Amino acid sequence: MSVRTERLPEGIEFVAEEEGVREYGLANGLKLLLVENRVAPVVTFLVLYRVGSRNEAVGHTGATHLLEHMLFKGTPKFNKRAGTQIAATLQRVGADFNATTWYDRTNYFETVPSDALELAVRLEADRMRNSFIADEDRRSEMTVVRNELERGQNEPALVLDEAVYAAAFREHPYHHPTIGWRADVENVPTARLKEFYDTFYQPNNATAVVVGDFERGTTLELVNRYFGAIPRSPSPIPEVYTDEPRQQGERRVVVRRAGELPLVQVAFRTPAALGHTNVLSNAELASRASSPPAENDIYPLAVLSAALAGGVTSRLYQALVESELAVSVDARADQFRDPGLFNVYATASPGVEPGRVEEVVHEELRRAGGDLGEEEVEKAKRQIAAHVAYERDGTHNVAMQVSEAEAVADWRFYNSYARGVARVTAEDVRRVAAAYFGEDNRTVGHFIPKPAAGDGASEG
Amino acid sequence: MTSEFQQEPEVAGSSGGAGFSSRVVREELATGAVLLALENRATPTVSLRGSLRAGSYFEPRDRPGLARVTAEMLKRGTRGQSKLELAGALESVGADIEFEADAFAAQISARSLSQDFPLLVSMLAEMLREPSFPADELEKLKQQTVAAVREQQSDTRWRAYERLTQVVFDKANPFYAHAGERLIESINSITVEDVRGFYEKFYGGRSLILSVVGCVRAGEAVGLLREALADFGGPENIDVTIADPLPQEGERRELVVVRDKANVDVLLGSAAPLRRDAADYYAALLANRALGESTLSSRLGLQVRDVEGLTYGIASRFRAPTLAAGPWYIAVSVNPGNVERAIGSALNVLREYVREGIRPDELEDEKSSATGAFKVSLSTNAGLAAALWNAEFYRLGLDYVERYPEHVRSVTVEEVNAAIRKYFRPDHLTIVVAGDIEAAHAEHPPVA
Repeated sequence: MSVRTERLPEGIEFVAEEEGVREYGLANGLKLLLVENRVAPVVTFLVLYRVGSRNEAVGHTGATHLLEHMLFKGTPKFNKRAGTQIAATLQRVGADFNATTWYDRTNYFETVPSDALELAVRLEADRMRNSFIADEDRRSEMTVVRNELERGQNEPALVLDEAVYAAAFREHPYHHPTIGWRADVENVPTARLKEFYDTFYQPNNATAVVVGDFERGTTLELVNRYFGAIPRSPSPIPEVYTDEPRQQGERRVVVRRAGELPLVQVAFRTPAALGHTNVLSNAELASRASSPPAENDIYPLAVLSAALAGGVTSRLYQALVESELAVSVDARADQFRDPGLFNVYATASPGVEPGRVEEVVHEELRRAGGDLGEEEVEKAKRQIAAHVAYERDGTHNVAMQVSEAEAVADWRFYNSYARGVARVTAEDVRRVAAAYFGEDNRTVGHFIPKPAAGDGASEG
Repeated sequence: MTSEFQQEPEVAGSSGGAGFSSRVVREELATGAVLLALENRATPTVSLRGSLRAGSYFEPRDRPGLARVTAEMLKRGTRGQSKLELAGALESVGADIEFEADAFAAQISARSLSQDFPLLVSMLAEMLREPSFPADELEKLKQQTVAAVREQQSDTRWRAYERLTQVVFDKANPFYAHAGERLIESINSITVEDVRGFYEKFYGGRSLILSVVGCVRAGEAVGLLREALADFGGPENIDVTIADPLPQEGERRELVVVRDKANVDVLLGSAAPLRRDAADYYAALLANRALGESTLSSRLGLQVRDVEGLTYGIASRFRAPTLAAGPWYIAVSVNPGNVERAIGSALNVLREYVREGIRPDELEDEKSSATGAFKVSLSTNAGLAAALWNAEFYRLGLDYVERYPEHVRSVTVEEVNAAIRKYFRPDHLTIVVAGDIEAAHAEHPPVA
C-alpha cells in the first residue's frame, strides 16, 4: 500500500517515512513512530517524554526521576487494590519493562509478546494523565530512591563523574546529577511532583515508539483509541533557556574517600548532538533536526573517542595500559540535547600517582590534534559502524536508540548517524582535537582513595 | 511460538517445517565438539556464544584464579601473531572476541559484522588452538587482574556474596570465592608453565560448544567452524562430579565491614541442591519467581520496596543452577539505618510464603510470565545464541526452545510447594551484611 492511499483513523495524520521509520501525528500533538521488524513475535512499545533533569532547579533536583518511580504506583484503572498493579500486570504477560530518566528525557518501555501490544498501549496512555501521585506513595518511594542514590554513592567512578559535571557546568542544569541532590530527593513536596507531572506529561510533549512485529493499521487504531482521547496541554510546555557561558580557565576537583584505586577524569566542553553550542527551544530544536547542519563536530568527536580509547590498539590504551600506568582507560563523547562534555576516564595502576596518568592523557590529546592519521581514523569509523549495527539487534534496542535520537534531536538522527560518521575525514578529527582539547576548556577530576582502617577481610 | 517467526531465509538443513529446531544446523565433530548455527537476517551482524569445560572447578586447589588467567591469556598472543596484531585485526573491523572463566566453563562470546564472520572464525580458532602465552603479557595480565580483584574488595555487593560462599561451600567447591588477599597471592604466583599446563590439560574440542546466530547461512557457518576446528582434539577428562554441600542447620550471621559506603548490601542465602537436570527444576524456578524475580512485582519487592520503601532493589535468585548445587539467596540493598528492618521484613515474607505456599492464581501468573519472558529473550541474535548454547551445554535437546512453555505449563501447585519447602529454609540461612555498619550491628557480633 502506498503512503498516499493508506487509510488512517480519524485524528491521525501521516507525516514522513524514511528508511523504515514512519512518523505520524495525533491531533493532540503526540508524535508516533512505527518501525516494523518481524524477526521474532515480540513488540516493544516506548513512550518518551521531553522532560529530564535539565528541566529541574535547586529544591527539586531529582524530581523527574522521583516522578518516574511514582508512575509505577498506579492509576484508578491499574493499581494494587484492584489486583492490577502496573508491574504485576506487565510481569504476567512476560514483559521486559522498565523506565529510565536522564538529562534530556524520561522514557517508559515494555517488550511484550506481540499479542500483548494493546495492554502496553492502554497502560501507557492511562498513566500519562491518570497517575495517582499520592503523598503516601511519595513518602515510601522517596526512601526507595534515596537507596538508589546511596548505591550510586558506593561507586567511586560515579562520585567522581558527578563532581566533574558539577564543576564543568556552573549554570546549565547538567550541573546536577539526574538522581538529584540528596536533600532535594528527601524533601521535595508531593505537590511539586504533581505540578511537574501536569506540566510535562502531556501528549504534545511525548513521542510514542512501536518497534517489532505488529500490524500497522491495528496499531494506528490502538494508539489513536487510547492516546487520542487525551487533550493537548492547557498551557505551552515551559522551555529551558539557561546557557552555560564559555569556560575561561581550567577547573579542578578532588574527591578523597575510601576506595582501592585512584581515578582520573579529564573533560572538555563540546557541542550538543546537532552541533550547536547554545540551548535551543523545542521549536528551534525540531527545525534544526529536520534539516541538520552539513557540518557537525559531534561526528568527528565520536571518531576521536574511538581512536583514543577503542580497544587495545588505541592511543590511550597503548600509552597508559600497555605501559602499566593504568589498568583501564575509556573515552566518551556526550551526545546530548544541549552542549555536553568529551570525557577521558582512567583507573591508575596500584601505586601510580594520578598526576602521572593525567600528564600522559594531556600529552596524547595534544598529539592527536597534530598527527592522528588516516588509518587510525578509518579503523575508528569501522568500529563505530559495527557498534551501530550491534546496537540495533532486537526490538528493545531499536526502540531505545530511536528514543535517544528523539530526545536530543529527532528520529532522523538515528537514521543518519552512520552516514555522519562515514563522512568524517582525518583532517576533521585533528581539527576537533585541536579545537576542543584546550586547557581553558578543561575540567580535571582526581579520585584519591583514602586508606580505610578496619576493613574486615578475613577468610571465613 | 515457533511458527510465528516470520522470517523467510533459505536455511540449509531446514526440513521445510516452520519449527525453530528444524532451522538450526547442528553438527558433532569426531573430536566431540558441537557446532550450532541459525540464520537470522534482522541486522548485518553475527553473534557467537560458546564454551569449553575449563572453569575454576578444574584448577588445582592451590591455584585459584588459574582458570580465569588462562582463559584471558588466549587473546594475548599466538604462535603467529602478537597481542597487538590480534587486537588490530579484530578492532579494524569492529569485531570482538571475549574469553572468561566461570565455575565450570571457559565462556566464549564474539561478534562481528556478517561480512567479517570468516575472519572472526579464523581468529577464534587461532586463539583457541595456538596460544603462545608470552611471559611479558602474563605479567601484565596478572597486574591487571590483581587490580581488578582489589577494586572488587570495595564493592559491598561482591563482598557480601564472597562471604556467603565462604560460609556455605567448602574450599574445593567451585562456588567458593577466595578472599581477596588469598586470590591476589595465588594470581601473583602463576607462571607461564602453570598456564600452559592448565591449557594442555583442559582445552580441546571434546567439550567445545559453539553456537552462531545471525546474518549467515547456517550450513556455511558450520562449515567454516568445522574446517577451522576439525582436528582440535582432547582433552582426556571433562567430567564434573561434586557432592551437594551439607544442609546448614540454624541461622548464621556474618558482618563484612567496608568503610565509607552510603549503601549496605545484605544477602540471606544458602546452598541450594538444585541442578539444571533436576526433576523439579521448573518447579523450583517458578517457586523463586513468585518470591523474588522482580523487585517491582514479586512478593519480596511488593512488601519490602513498595509498601515499606526500604530498598531500591530486592530479589531472590538461584545463582546458576548448573552442573552442581550452587547458591540461592535473597539480595537486598539498604540504608545502614534500615538493615535490621529490611532483614526482618524479608524473612517475614519468606516465612509466610513457606507456611502458606504459592496461590494457584499466582502460579498461573508466573507461568504466563515465564513463557512470555522466554519468548522475549529470543528476539536478538545474542539471546538466540545463548538459548542454543544453553540447550547443548545442559543436553536439553535442540527442541528445548519449543518445549520450554510446555515444561513450565505442566508444573503443579503441589510441585511448587514441595520446591519451596525444599529450597527455602528461613530458619537455616546465612545472613551476610556488607557495608559501613559496625555500630548499627553491635547487637549481632559477627561469627568468627
